[in-house]
Amino acid sequence: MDAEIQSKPRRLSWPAGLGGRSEKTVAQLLIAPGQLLMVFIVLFPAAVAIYLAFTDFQPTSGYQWFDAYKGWHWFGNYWEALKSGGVFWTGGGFWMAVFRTVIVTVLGVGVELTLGFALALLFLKTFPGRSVLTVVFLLPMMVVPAVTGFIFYMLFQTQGPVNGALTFFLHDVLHATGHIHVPWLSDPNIALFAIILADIWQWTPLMFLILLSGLVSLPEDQLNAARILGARFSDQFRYLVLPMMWPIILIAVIIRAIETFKIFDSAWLLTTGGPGDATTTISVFLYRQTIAETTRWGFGSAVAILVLIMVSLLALRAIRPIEAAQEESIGELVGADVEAESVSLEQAIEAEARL
Amino acid sequence: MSTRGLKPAGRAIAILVIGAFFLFPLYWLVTMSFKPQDEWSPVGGKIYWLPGKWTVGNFTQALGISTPNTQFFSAAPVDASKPIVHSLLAAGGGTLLALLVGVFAAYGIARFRAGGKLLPFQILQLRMFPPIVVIIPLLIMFTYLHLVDTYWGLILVYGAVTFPFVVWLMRSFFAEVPREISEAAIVDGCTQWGAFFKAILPQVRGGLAATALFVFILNWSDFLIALVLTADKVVTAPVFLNSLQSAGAGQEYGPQAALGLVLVLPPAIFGLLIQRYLVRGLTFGAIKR
Amino acid sequence: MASIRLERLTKDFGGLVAVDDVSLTIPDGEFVALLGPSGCGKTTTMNMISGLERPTSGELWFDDRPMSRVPVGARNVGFVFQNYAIFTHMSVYDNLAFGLRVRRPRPPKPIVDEKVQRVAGVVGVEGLLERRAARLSVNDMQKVALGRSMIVEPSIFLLDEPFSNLDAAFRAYMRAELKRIQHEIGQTMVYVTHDQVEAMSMADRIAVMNLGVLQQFGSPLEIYERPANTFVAGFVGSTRINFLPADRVPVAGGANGVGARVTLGIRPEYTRIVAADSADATITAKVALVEPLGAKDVVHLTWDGHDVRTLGTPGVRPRVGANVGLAFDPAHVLFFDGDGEAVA
Repeated sequence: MDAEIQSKPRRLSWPAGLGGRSEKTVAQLLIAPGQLLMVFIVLFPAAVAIYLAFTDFQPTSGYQWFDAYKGWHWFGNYWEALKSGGVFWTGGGFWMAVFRTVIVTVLGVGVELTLGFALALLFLKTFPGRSVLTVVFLLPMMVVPAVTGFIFYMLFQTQGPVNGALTFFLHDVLHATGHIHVPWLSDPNIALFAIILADIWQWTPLMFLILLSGLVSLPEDQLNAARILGARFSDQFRYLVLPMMWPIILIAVIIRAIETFKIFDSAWLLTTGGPGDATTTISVFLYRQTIAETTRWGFGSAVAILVLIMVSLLALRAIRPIEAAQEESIGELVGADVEAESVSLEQAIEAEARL
Repeated sequence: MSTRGLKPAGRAIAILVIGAFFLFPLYWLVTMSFKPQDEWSPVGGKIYWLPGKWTVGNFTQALGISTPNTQFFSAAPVDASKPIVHSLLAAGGGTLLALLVGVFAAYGIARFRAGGKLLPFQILQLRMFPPIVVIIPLLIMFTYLHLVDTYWGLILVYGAVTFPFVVWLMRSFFAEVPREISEAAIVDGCTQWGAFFKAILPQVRGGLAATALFVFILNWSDFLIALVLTADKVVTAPVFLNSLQSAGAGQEYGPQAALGLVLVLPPAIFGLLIQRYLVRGLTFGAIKR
Repeated sequence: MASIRLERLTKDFGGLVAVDDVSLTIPDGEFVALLGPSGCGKTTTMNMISGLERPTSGELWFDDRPMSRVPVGARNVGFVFQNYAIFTHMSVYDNLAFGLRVRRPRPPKPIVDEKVQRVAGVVGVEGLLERRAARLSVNDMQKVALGRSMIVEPSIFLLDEPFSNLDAAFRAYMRAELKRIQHEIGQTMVYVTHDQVEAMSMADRIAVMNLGVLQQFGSPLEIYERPANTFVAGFVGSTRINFLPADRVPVAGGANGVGARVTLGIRPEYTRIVAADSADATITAKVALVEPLGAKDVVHLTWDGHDVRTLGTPGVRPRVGANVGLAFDPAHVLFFDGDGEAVA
């Protein structure tokens, strides 16, 4: 949004009287409010955060934030965050929070991808009721994440329906005895899986949608040619479907991974980070450090900056494969407009329905 | 492609199982919202898979139509009528702001190529910020500007957070409109602004509506921003839901579920309406063969 | 190499009958063209032979094997698509090798390599093996498509308008190449086309189809000289055949309108312009238009409200508006009944 307007002479086709200069001003005017908003929401807060990260500022410190230099702390906050230890899996501290977030992201997105792909394959051929079922399968995606957290809170109660259903299964299908009383939310060792499951429930439909659209647009002639040459389903999948779907898969995974990393709403309503620290993902960690439990705004800012750096590094690593994948698709479209490239990435991200 | 390895029966079973997985939580939400209080928590191990006694009491409570039931454990109010209104206003206002700023910016980019190829990546980068990262400085700024716990504060943030989506979606819709349309309008005597409003905007009506709904869903679903930036005057519905969670000793599932159901209805309906646009965007876009 | 027998093959797409009760036998090693306009069912017929479509009813035989239960990949046919359908994300080498690599058990690398090299040589893409398939010229893509099908040594070759996207010069070249290959290897080939020139020049026999129904199956000569009905007569032939009401044309030996003879057909090349008062003139007509086509002009005459076409004699260009006579070669006059079927 901060980019300057480039005027390309061949695109200026306004009739005489509206010259290049007036066009530039019009363009500037058009994006000015947007730029203002960006400064307000992104740049300024970022600057403040950087400043505060070097202090031990708290709202109770007794002075205004711009005087925070009074509590100058150098890199103390960063150091504290980076050397945070803690019990593995259930302990507190920055690194554990990061670790848990990574687990949730990797497991969550992994299962979403697999399940979504399986579903997309199932839905590839028409069958009666397919359009209705597609709508049904997309519903979880539309649920407000906070409500998702609440729903699964209900479901995962030790006396709740999940355990009840499992018990039913145990009794009436496997004909065993006993009760299933998994303490999903109160056992620090397994609470994280409740969060992961809720995330999988909510976002598999998105993967399903993206992958199905991709599968549907695969060139049918090529697949038929492969079939005639003797390729079975596994051959088609390995040699044709996967390579052709690769850019889409990559984009979908990266988008979901970025979003899952930020997970907060459903996690907070499910467990508020507990029991103890067992489900404190990085966003929950930040929230607790800055609002819920303590109000260490200086420390929180430092952690926020660390997270920002980490995510940016990951993003930079991710841009390369995305560009490469785009390159491939472009290479196959002889003479394709470069505009098509931006449109395709945009539209893929357009499917992202939630913050 | 031949998925003939999977017989129709196998496919049906797989779909049924997965469908059950997706529908069950929603089913639970719906049934819970109709259960009377004594059926919420299974005392003595009995789980009510269907409401034994269908009641609309939860809805009337949640929507503030009836007075709180004295049977509730906690004295915390479950009247969600005001929070729902707050959500509507904040989300609606934020959407309007996002649209206002975003549509013009999108047009500027589509016509005058500001940003260009880099823009999608830039927006991707924006999305990478965990919102919590900017929340603290925002909270500080807002406290200073007396914007905490106000409608305007929320609307401002909502608008700022969602306007990149508007830019991004509307840009591609604007790009589909041929240049000649605005040129023709100008030849007919319109000013540039006139051409925009009378000739171009009507062309993207559908996309505009879809974008508006999409952004509204985003704002409506917000939890964290409202959680941090509001206290007790402007309480949006998701935040209220959360407060019900922590308030009191007992779990008031009934009214909470009713509120939850009310919360998810607009996105569900809107989402299904714009589904076609999303899918169209996807099939045009990410896969161009 | 195998013979193909279609027995009452039908494909019904829920209301739209694309292929209606088609029966024909293609002997081993023959080159057969499926000829007809768009939508006549030729591609669907071919898809049924390959296995991509399941017939609604009827039976298909390769040699003496009924094929209805044999899945697509097991039929050992080669298929060349109209838009080649080569695997654009793979190299040319991988494209050619594909058919071998999906075999179970997978042949060892040296064998695969040898076969790929050989096929590449046959179709002429030796120098392109490392190139990504998407970056080939259209002509080379078609060669790869051909090679990809050939490498598995199928007994039957199916080609769906394979040359329609190529430039004219290359098309002629590929036609000749294809015939040469077919002669060498002796494969049974079924070639779908809507271009009757292509069919006439390449095929041993032609199956003419229209609206899902087989109109005629015979050698090019038979199709041309003894068309089974007005459709076949009208579809084949560079300059379209003339159809005239039989009872209005005085032709010796032809009972004017008696019995089943309703329509008379005569090809432009079997008519000759003569003097209007000549004894040879079957009819007299007025010159309406002369289309110069280089070697021979197409002269349009108006007779009795009909547009009658004839080929002009080189060097002699009749004047527009002149009254001339047209002599019909009685040996090549065709008659059709009220339903368009040929009669003696």
